[in-house]
Amino acid sequence: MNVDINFAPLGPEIIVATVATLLLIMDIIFVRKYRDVIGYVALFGLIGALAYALTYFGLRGELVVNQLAVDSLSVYIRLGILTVGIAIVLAAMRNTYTIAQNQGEFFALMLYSIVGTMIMAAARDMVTLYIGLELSTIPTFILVAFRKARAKAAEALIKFFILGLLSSAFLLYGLSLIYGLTGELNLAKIAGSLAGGMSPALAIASLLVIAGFGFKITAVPFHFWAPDTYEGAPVVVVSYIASVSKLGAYAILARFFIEALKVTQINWGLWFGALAVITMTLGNLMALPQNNIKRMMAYSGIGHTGYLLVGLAVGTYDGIWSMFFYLIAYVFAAIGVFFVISVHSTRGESDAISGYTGMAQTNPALALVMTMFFLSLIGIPPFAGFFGKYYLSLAAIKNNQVYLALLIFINSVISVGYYFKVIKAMYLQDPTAEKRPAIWPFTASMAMGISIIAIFYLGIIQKPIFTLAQKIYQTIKL
Amino acid sequence: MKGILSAIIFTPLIGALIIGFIPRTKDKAIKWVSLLFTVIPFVLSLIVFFNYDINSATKLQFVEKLPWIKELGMTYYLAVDGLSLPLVVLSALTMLISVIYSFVVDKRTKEYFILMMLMASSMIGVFMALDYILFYIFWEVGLIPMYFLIGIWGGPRREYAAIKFFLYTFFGSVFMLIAILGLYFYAPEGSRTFDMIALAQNTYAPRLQVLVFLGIFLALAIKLPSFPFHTWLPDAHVEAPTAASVILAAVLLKMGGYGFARILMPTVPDAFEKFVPLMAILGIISIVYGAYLAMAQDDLKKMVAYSSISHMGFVTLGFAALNVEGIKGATFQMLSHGLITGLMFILVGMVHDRYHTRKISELVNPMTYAPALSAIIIFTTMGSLGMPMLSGFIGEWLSIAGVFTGLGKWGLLYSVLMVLGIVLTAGYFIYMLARVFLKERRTKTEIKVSDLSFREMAIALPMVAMIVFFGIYPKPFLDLVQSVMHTMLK
Repeated sequence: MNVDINFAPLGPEIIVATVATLLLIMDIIFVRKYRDVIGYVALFGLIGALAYALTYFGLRGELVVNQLAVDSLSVYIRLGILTVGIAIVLAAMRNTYTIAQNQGEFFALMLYSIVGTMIMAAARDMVTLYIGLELSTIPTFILVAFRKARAKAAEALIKFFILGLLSSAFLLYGLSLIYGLTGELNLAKIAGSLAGGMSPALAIASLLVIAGFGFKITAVPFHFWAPDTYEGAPVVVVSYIASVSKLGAYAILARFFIEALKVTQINWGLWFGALAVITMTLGNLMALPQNNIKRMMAYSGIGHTGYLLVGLAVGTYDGIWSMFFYLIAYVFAAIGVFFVISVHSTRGESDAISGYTGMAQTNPALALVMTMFFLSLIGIPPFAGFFGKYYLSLAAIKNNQVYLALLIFINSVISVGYYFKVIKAMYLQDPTAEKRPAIWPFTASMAMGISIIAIFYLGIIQKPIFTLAQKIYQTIKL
Repeated sequence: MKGILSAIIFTPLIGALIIGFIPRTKDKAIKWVSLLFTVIPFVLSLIVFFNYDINSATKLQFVEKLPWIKELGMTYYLAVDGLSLPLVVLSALTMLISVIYSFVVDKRTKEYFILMMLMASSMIGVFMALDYILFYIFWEVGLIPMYFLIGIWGGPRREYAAIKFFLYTFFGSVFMLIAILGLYFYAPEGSRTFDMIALAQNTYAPRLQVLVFLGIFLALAIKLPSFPFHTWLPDAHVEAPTAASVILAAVLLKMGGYGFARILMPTVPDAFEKFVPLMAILGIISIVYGAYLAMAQDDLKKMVAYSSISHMGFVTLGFAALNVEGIKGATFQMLSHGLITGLMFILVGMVHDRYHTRKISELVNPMTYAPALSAIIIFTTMGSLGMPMLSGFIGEWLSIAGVFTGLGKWGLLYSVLMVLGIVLTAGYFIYMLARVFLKERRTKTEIKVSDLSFREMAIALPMVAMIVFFGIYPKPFLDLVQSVMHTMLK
């Protein structure tokens, strides 16, 4: 056994894991007065990891460390996860409402989950994949119920936990079936073994794997946990689930299906296409009647999953890179919305959309920022969301799947209905009763600032994220 | 002169940014900054206009072409030619006028003027962009400020009107984007680009041409607006604040016509020819139906809105004729309608400011206290119904001439119907004048109002002068259109 393993490419994961453990220790040691330091340590830990990860930006080819591949895909996702993580930690840092005095646990759990997601994105091996998945998901179970006094939190937790466990079980069963069929754990070797083959067992295994991952990405029909969990969990935790979890899940979905299973006879274009269509349509239609902004965002997230699945349905070079491009564009806009929700909710309102009435006059900067995020999610230029959807449609048309492009656009028009409900309330209506002023810490501004810069940058300049995304396909296709 | 086009587009944006830093209580500062940042683009556009060399062999001048995303064929490509140049000047002028008029706005002025600045940038950008994606971006971006302008400062049904406008236009734009993608993908191998001019050189398969035509035509027909996609216009115009109505009528509607000339005719000429009968039918229905609807209105603003639909029908028909007179008529009508109806909406706004009503039945004769205003109202009405010596006549006359010879055996019928449309137009406008200025009132309530202020004079008189000037001497503009005729008629 080779003990000269070069762990250097896994630096970011190691840094984050170490910091997480450090946070737990600090949690025990630090007294009340100094507990805020914990948040800063988490923040700087992530920044350090990001800096390290950036050194791999120009990576060509891949560095394999046993079962983990540091290639373009994992570098891209890792950078995304860490940047998003930094933004979320910034937003959460002063959020005493949610965290109270449990900073150590909160940030440690989040950081462990981040490590798990990064591992998941880099996994080349089914066992490592599963480990990463579990490490990523289990902390989120606890995070979801962090404000345990609320009844809705309990409901959120139960649904999330039970469905999460169930889908993990499905996934494990599917993975074990594949092992049984091929005798291999490594994804590359699985591809070699399955080439050209097809059997009922393989079909079932694939279905189970889709079910397992479908949970994480809130694809229909594995999405039922999302609205209730988004509604009941604390906003910063929701922003985490809506972003980092999806980043990792899409990475592994792409890797799994392009690398391992593409070679089989199954018509993935059809399956993923159907999944994409159902998901985007259901997500967008169900968002329309929502009155709670968090539930609305849950369904909107389901809709966006539909758009992203188009990338997998197309499955070509263009499909994959456009999917990853839109993923980053979506994630930053979505967490931005959650950051605004988090600041606004300090005014004491429930999360009803009617609570946003007149925000343009009471808190114009916040309303403007929220509007920009919504415009990106609808797909209005010059924001990143437009380009993401546009590139996905480009890929679909190029692959003669014009109906997918058409559906993306029609669903975008439908999505105007619910996003504009909030915009309308904020801008077109006058504020109602006097409310407490919002508690808007500077760190929350920095978090929103990261998102704003992201959606503008990805819209107008686009490179080098664009070029990095384009390298992904080469690394996962054999 | 390098970069002057970008300067015209980005000056209002810089203005918007500066206004963002002015405290919202400093109304005066906000208004004067907006004025400054609207005057500058207008002056620059005039510089471009007077430096345009009509006799040069290259019709596209002041070109700015920078690579943007090369792998996908997207470039930052701006230029003006005989077609877009007048529209750019019209847009800049309209913005200037709207901002001067908007000095009356007192509610949420900061947001109002920032939105106006954004509107200005995107409008002008549409006419200058020669890369399809850049064009699309400017087209879409313009929807947002207009939504807010209608929705916040508009009339009683503003929320409905705003979202109707937005959704309707957005829906059409989406099909336009797919059509554009079709043009991109099915270009001959190796020439994949979004360059409008380059793609116009390609010949596409007939079936593809039809699909692309339909997609883009949908978006343009909504913008024009042409029957049957016109239903957003009355609501949007009526509920919008005056300045927004002016911008809508004078500029946004012209984007539809511009699309015909810039995109459809050069790029999918065979499909265009095939759909001429459809365009003609829709055009004539717009003219006549629009006129009838205008006649039935009591609300002055709604009447002018329907008159817009009617006037833009001439644009559709002029393009459908596919000959020199028709195209000249259509493009001239766009320019003239922009001036006349733009002024019309300003006047309606002035009337509303004084009498707080737009209902013709309720209006008291303004002649007693506001003779100058009354004179200009009568003048503009004459312009709108196509009185010779005023610019409206030229556009209508040329379109009819084009249709007369251009639509084959149907030419005569369509021309007759167009003339009928003009008669109807005269009908409802004169009817309006009679009800406002000539009617005996049972109750002699006279409301004392002020006549035109200096500011209002500053807006109205130059417009009046231009309407007369172009009515008598349309040659400069017609020459400009003639210089690019070869791109439209293949």
